[in-house]
Amino acid sequence: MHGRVKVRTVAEQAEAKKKEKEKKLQAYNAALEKIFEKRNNQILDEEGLKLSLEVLLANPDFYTLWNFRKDIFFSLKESRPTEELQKLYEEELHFIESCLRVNPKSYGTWDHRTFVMNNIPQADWKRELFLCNKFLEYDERNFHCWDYRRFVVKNSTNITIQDEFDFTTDKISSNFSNYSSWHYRSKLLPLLQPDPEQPAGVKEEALLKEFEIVQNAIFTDPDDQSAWFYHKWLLGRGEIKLDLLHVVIIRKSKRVVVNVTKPIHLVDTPYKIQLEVNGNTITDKWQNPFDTNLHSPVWIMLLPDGIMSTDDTMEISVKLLNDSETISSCLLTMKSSMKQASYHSTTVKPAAIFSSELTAAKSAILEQELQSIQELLELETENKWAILTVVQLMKSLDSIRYATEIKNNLEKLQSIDPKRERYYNDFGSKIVIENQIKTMDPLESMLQLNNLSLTAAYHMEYLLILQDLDVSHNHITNVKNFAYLQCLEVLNLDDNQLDNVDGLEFLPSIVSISLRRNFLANLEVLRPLQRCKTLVMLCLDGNPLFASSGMPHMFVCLSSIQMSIIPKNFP
Amino acid sequence: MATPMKDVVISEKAPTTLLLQKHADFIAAYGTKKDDYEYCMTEYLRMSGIYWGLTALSLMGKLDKVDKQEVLDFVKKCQHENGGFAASLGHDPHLLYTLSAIQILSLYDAVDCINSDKVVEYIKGLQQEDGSFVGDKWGEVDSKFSFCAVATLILLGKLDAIDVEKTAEFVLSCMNFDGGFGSRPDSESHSGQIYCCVGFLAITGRLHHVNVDMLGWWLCERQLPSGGLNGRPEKLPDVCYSWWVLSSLKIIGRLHWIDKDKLVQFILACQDDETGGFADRPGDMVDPFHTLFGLAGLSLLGDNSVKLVNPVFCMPQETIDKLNIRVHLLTL
Repeated sequence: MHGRVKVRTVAEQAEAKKKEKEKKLQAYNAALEKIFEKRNNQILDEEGLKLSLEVLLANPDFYTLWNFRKDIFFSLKESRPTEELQKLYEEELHFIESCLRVNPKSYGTWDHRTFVMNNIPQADWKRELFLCNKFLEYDERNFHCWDYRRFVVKNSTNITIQDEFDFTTDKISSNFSNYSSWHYRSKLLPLLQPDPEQPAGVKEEALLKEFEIVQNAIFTDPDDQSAWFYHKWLLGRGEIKLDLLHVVIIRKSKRVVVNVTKPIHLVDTPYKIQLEVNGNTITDKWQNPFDTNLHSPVWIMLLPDGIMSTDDTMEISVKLLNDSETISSCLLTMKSSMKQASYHSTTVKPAAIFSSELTAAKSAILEQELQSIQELLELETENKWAILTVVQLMKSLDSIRYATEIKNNLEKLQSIDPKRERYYNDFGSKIVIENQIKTMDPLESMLQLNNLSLTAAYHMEYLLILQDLDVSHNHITNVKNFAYLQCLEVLNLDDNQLDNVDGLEFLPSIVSISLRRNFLANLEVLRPLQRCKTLVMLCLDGNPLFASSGMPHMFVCLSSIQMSIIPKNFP
Repeated sequence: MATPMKDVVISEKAPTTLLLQKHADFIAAYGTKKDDYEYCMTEYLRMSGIYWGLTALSLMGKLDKVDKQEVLDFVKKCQHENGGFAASLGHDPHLLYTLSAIQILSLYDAVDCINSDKVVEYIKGLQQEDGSFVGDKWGEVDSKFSFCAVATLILLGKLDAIDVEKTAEFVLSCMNFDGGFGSRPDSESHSGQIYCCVGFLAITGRLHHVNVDMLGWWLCERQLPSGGLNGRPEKLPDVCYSWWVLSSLKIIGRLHWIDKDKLVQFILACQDDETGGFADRPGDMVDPFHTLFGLAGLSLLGDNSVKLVNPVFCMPQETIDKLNIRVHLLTL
């Protein structure tokens, strides 16, 4: 029941209307009564078809009545000659068309049409395609009709992918703002012009031609989002190959932590991580940092007692397997003097993962697109779609070289499109963190992300080697994904917007957490930290919890002894 | 050839506060006008209608306004021999109404009063070779039926009755170029379908398949200048889409990507201050469907005068907690 405008009527009109509805209802109910009686007695004849006509015309979503008609058709199939059946089915198609004219968006009606077409002795698919054309002329966004069209095409022997592609071209040239057509193209183009080098990719010549069409749309109507979404898709998206990225062995928390390039699960999947210490296979269970049953890019093995206490040098081998085939492996040596040992892949870099968001296209194409969109921006200086596309292209091409321009563009987007301000903030944070990760030494144990206007902590899974992280003076509102930082000992979160610390309880090596001037309102929100057995320093100065609990400021820094007071003071 | 943006203008006279009492009265009265034309014409979806109304009342803390026994008797009578539930007496069983029935029983903590093993059998019987689900024996395939299947099963504590991996494969095959989902492979994305598929992936622990930032961007672009959200590009805003977009954003941890204050303003403007209830757009006719999604939307947006709603099931969080169902949502 959508789009029915409420009309305020005077009492007299209302009374007349009520009477009219009562009359309509009486006829409706009388018809229903007869139908249900017939159905209960399993009388499935042509009269049943007639009886349900009016009801369905008035109420095409009455699914049980469509079922009734289907039952009747199946029953008639037993007793009637083919020609008669054909005629009845053809009449049914006419009837369905009348119903669709009243309500072109009824799921039940369209589905009944597929039933008829699946069962009619002689199907005229050409006629069906014609019907689709007609209904799409009337409403080019009717997804029921588009779906029915795809059903028709699948069943027709003489409609090619090219025919359908040409149909979308026609639709788009009469109106660029036709998201349904662009959508259909995204399905047809990879079938029509497949790229032999990558699955679901598009051949370069075809891609260039397609860019031309989209640009035509974008330059004609730069505010129409349909073409922009399609443009984003054309720019492509690389597939990330599963591989080992980092492996760390941590003496203190007795664990091996493995970081792979994309989330995997190790139970009931072909993937396996094989761990050997001094030649002995360790078969204990791998768990993710959150200890859930979910996929994760980080997996942890708690080493059984005794293994870490040896004074000898340890040789550790880690293998990532897919169906017992080795994808990647590494060997680590941990001497008795070492706190931790780590491996990082020299072939797979996080940078490649970051740019895979937009790398299916070659960088020459991206450069060319950047130039075109910048030309558009000269005409349409305030066009948010163009500005955002420029940011996306710059991020892909060289996010470090373009860092300042990206920042300025995102700031501009925030001012011209304030509704999505926080989307742009998070996007900016993502790029800033990516740039930090790209430029840091992968074995570096310290990172400063302070004062960067960060609103979201993206990509923590790639930083699991860090021991000391400063994220102070930002706008971070949650730290759930900090759980990936399995080596972390010192964490500075001063001057952020945290009202909880969920996630930090999974840090096995954490010694010091500074949370000054956040939004922590009460001691209850700190309860997860009780799990942090290694924590000796917790700074909480400047949080509202002091105002509510009346606790003296002496508690600002907790020594290892005072830490034990916290649980006792919990409400 | 620039296309004008489709949107609505909110009148200055539109309501700006939540009219809780009126909504409770509207819903409670709706079920008593059984001879009304509108009521009779919607009988084919009665079971879902009851779920919408009862959940709305429950979110307002007014579930006791309806005769519980009458509802339970009705629901019981709608279960067919094959285990599935029909929308109403004399109607045919369907997966859509089976989920609604189990949701109603869950609200009342009364799942024990029906034969739930038969429900599980019914659902299992609707799964196809490719992992998809049909809505009933007649064979319509839709990814929303996959959602209905797993939501019903998890409410019954029987998610392990089906091959979840195979079920997920079909849902994932409905993913599109924009990060959204359609009703079948190759079908266009729209927000209702996205809610079903993202909800499906949340229930089955597979949200890692979602291209979160891409989908989140598409979803937050549903917000129009009026503050309301539409279901697809270049469409009008609607309270029900406000819910489907909003719950999807919540599930993928990107709720903050829209302007909450403007959306609250839009939803409140869709109230009818005479009759109570919410309409799809300001000034249109109200109904229980939009009333539930208006209230649920406000709950997700942090309105404390409505109970906390679970974004996956569109039921009170306390009901989901009571059933011990834990669904992991994403965070950023």
